Amino acid sequence: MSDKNWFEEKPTDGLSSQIQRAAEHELERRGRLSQTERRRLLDFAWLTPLAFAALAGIWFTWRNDKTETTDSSIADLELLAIEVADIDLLVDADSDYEFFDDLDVLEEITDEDFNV
Amino acid sequence: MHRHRDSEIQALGDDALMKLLADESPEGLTTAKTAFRILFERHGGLVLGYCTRIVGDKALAEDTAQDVWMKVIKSAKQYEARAQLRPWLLTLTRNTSLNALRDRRDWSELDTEEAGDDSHASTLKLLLDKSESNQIRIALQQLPAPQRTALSLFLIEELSYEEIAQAMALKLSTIKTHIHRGRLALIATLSESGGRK
Repeated sequence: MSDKNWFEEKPTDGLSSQIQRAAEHELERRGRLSQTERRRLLDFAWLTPLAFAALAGIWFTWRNDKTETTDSSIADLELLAIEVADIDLLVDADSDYEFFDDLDVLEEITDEDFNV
Repeated sequence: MHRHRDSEIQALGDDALMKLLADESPEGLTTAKTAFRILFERHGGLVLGYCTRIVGDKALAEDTAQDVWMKVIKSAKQYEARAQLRPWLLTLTRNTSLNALRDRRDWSELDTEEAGDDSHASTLKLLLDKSESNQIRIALQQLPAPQRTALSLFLIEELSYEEIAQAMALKLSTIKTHIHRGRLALIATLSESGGRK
């Protein structure tokens, strides 16, 4: 080919200066934008240690409030459950089902129906 | 001192210039402006010429070229040095030009008759080798928009039929038709002008 880049076309002086002006404007705008972003970032930078301290506080509180599950705590729980069950039985035996007497529908129910 | 700095930047390669252009700090503004000026001096002709080949219309090509250069600034950060500037710039120019054409809805008469064979490819290459760049430009300019665009992508960027179909969002058979017809028309025009010489 006589000219390697036959499709190239030199921009006119007018177009060249127009594109250069637009480019300079765009570069300045971009620079201003990045400066604003940086300033905004600095404005809120002081919040970072504060947020960190708040998170640490929340975590510490949560950590301390959490009950540790150990063998002895499980044993305590079982003992408590047994005691509660015993009290229930005691209440049932003493009550003699008196509270059922007022209920007509349950008139026919006898002690045998309750296998206490 | 400023002049000396300019000449230093002038000596840099495209990749280094793109790096300077990507610098958004206030300190790098002057350097970025110089880098842009040098890049534009080096590749302004390539971008405008390619835009003209694709869109056809001079005014639209100039607007598109300006869009391309603005995109170069905006995407300088994304540019990877290993990609090489020229193909990257050609792809950016092609996509921007095709978008400009689409916005204008330039192609309406798209017929899909089967394309002929590629036997005219070598004839065209021979004619392109012999012809003056101005003759080729004029011949290409005379083609209808879709033929000119498809043929430009084929000849300038050496894209495959499939890639052109994808870029122009047209059927493969339509692209083949456009390229086939474009080639015939270009051969006819170039042979005629060659014979007149």
